Amino acid sequence: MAEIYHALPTWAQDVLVMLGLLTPLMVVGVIVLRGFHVRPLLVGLLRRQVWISAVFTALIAVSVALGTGLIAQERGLRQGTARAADKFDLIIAAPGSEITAMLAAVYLQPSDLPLLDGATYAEIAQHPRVSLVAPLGFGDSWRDAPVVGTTAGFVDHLSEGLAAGRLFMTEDEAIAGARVSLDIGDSFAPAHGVGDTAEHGAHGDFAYRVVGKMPMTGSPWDRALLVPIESVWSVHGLANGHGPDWDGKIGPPFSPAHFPGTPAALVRAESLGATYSLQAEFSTARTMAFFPGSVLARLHALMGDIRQVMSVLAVITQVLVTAGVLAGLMMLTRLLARRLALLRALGAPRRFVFALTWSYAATLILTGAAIGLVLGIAASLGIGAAITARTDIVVSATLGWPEIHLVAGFVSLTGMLALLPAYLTMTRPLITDLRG
Amino acid sequence: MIRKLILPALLLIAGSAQAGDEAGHAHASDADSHLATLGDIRLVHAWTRATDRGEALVFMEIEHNGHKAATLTGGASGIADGVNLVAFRSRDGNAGYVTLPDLTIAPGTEMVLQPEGVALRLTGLDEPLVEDQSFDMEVAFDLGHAQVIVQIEAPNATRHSHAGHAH
Repeated sequence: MAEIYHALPTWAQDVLVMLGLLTPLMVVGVIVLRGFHVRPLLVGLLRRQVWISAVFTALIAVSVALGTGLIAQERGLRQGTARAADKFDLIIAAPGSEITAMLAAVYLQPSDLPLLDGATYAEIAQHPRVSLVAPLGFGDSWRDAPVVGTTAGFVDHLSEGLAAGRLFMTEDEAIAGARVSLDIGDSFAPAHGVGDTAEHGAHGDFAYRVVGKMPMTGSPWDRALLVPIESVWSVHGLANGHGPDWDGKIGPPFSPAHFPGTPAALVRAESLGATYSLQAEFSTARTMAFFPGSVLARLHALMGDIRQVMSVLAVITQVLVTAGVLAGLMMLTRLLARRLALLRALGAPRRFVFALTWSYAATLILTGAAIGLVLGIAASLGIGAAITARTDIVVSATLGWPEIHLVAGFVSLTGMLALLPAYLTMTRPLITDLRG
Repeated sequence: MIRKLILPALLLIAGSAQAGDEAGHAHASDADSHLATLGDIRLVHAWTRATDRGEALVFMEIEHNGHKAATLTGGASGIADGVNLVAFRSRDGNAGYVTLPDLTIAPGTEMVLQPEGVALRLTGLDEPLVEDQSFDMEVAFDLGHAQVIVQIEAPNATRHSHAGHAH
């Protein structure tokens, strides 16, 4: 049986799980409503108690929205951070923390990293299986935008073609990220450092001129300024990576003897297999090579347990809210006791009253869950937009199977809990209720 | 009184020594099961996760101490229909394993097959893999084949239970 299940496509497995979760509710529904036509009375009950029904439905909707929104948001954040690392196949840095190097190179978080020397960089650049290698030099900024020294090849790789303008060709030219408030032709002076402590004017009157603009990448690089690595070295009083016989053309090849060092290098290889081979070759005492995608996946795997706890908490919250609603429903049925007793006195069987009360509760639960699902996605989109504005990582949360499974499990469980108030209504003393 | 104390003490020391020897033998035997060789290539700590699904990933450390590049091409096992080489890849926010035709291991390097990295994928498993058991698997290189014993770890394991031990 398990073999057949695992052989199915993923979407079919998800549909089966959903149906499995809904089965108890459907079975209960068929048994409870069998032989009765409760719809006219149910509609009448809903109309008569429209405000109470609306409040109960809203309570359920809000609790479902909180649960589904949280889970969809967590998945959106996970996918957004992974998508932002897509362009960073392999990072080679000096030995240290992979996470720190990843935060610096992929997410542009200021970090103090040791440097790769010229000989090591040349060894990477000259490897026959390397198709692109680019130094990434951090440390300067303009307002809240980090200034990153690199090569035109990296800009082309990251942007997959500029949105406007051209690549830099001289040391004083720059490319602006899509969210940087500079246009082609604008100039800016880099400050030494990042944040409130950045030293303005530390690099004298040196200024860059923006000659190109990148398209949106959905990553923190949208708020970065990319400049020739030679200029970053030069303004810090270092050699510019080229020897005395340099022809003045910026970019590779760099002279190992005149290479001041880089905190990290992005490496692309001719194939995925070659990238893994390079990772093994450059995981040495002098260098650390890692896949940002793999590091993130390991972090996400750790968070997997947290996600499960979040799912359980979401279900518990929803069930508690629904238990409160069902308790309210029991009080409501006490108020309606005389009418229900009259119904029975007119010949309606006890089980009809049971079916009517249960279908009323089930209607509130199903309607609340459906509205909650929509509200959850809306809330998640709102939170995603807020996170994107703060981190520049595009977080797009959409409705997924985990949310549908969560809601299916919730309606099934609470649908069964609704049997209790229905049973209590059915067993009320008829004569006492008729007397009011 | 002293003699009464010395005798149990000697017995205790002797017992400890014997237990130590036994543990040493057990460890030596254990170590053999964790190591396989093919010429200058050492395959250490092959492991997988317990599962009742039809497929599983096998991980290990491959140390290449030779002078010529070796190429890992896949493998074979009596408990699975197929063994192929896969690599982890993340694209557009979705991560997963894709098949690799082969993998070059440069001389003097250590290729670590690990979760969220490169692995050998067993497909069409005949039976569930049960924790603490093991099975034989053949790992194929262009230079020949190596026979490894794959230790089955917990379903959520992230490494071989002896990872870090030198062999």
